[in-house]
Amino acid sequence: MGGDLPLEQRTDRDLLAQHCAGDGAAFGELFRRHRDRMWAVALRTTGNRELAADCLQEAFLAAFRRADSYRGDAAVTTWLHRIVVNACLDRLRRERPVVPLPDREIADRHDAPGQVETRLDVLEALARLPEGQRIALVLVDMHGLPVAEAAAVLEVAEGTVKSRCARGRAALATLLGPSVTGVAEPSGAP
Amino acid sequence: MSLRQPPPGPPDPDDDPTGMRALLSSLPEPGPMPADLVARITASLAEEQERRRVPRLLHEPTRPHRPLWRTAGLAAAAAAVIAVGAGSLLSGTAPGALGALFGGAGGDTASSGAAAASAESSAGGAVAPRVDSSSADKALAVPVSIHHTARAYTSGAFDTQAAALLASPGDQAAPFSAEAPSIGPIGTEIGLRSCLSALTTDRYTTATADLGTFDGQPAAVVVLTTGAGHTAYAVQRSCSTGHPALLMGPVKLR
Repeated sequence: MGGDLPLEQRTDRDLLAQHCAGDGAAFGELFRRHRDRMWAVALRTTGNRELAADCLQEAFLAAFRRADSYRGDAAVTTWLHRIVVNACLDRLRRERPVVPLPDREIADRHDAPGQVETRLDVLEALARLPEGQRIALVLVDMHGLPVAEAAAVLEVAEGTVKSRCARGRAALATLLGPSVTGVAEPSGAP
Repeated sequence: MSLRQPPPGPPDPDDDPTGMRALLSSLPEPGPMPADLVARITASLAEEQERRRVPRLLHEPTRPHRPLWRTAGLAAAAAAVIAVGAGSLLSGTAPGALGALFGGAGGDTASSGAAAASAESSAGGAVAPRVDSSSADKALAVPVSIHHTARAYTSGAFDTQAAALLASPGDQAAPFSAEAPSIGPIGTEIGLRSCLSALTTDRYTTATADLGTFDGQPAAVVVLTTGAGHTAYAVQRSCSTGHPALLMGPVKLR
């Protein structure tokens, strides 16, 4: 099971199995390996550093405690993504009412569309999307997960992920307007 | 000839006329997880690990496992002790002969009294723990915390500074699971426990370590809490089993 190999050479599956068997260092290696990616997912899902930090702590503790729930039918990273995304969604559903809405419409403030401003606009627009569309875009478009893996993370059909992505992109394009998207509005648009 | 229509279904994710997919994928990565969050999560995982281990230790027998045949041997020896002891009481046989007989049957318990042997056999092995054999397990169950305040401890003010550490240790550092070259073995929980085993055989209930400097050189300050109070040590960061690398201590704190 790879137990004789140095930690960094063991597979994710081996590490998780060894953690379940009582290896005190195995989960630490999994955390080291995947923390940056999970941080990015949590940050982009919640749009808030403090919230993302709390969610990640909950998620990694949950993964530590419930490692034996990993059935091995998906990659460990898929399982971890699922735990992180669920932790974020649970938290967002509790905290959502206190997230303030911006005063201005995003599409109204593109006088000087610098790179940072564009990024902030995109993230803000992303935060306005329905939860399902937002998570689908975070996983597929921002993190490059294949649709099948995103579907496994979200525990929905692949077709659902594709639909959410398509609808989310269209909604995002509308929110951002042509100056950010660079896509000309159809002629005759108001 | 009619064109075949594509089957209805969800859109292809690669087909994106809005350009949003390209825009989203071009956004810069948020960067690595912040160090303070890494430390926070690592510490909570270490706590969880400790919690996972302690109940197991608490339920383990506090003496080494004894093979059945040796337990049976002890029972036989105890029976012999009772029989011979009763006889010696009557005949005036020297007690040394009883010790030799018991030691022969019991092996490593040659120095134990017949009373302990009979207690063990009569209670089915549920004998009171022997301090020497259980100390390692007990030490593992003791909570330890590692801090990295980088305080500059000095021999002149060591007792005050060590007391201050105890009063206000600060946030717990991320306990490294593998030895960090810049810190040494004492930066890991296992390393700290191994250092503690070199420093003392006393029973302690908590151990607090701080990685800082002592008289200008990299060091670790360790404060042990025992039933009698607190004791502080300053050690080099190479401190480990059999090599205490002591710089100062033990110093009783008031």
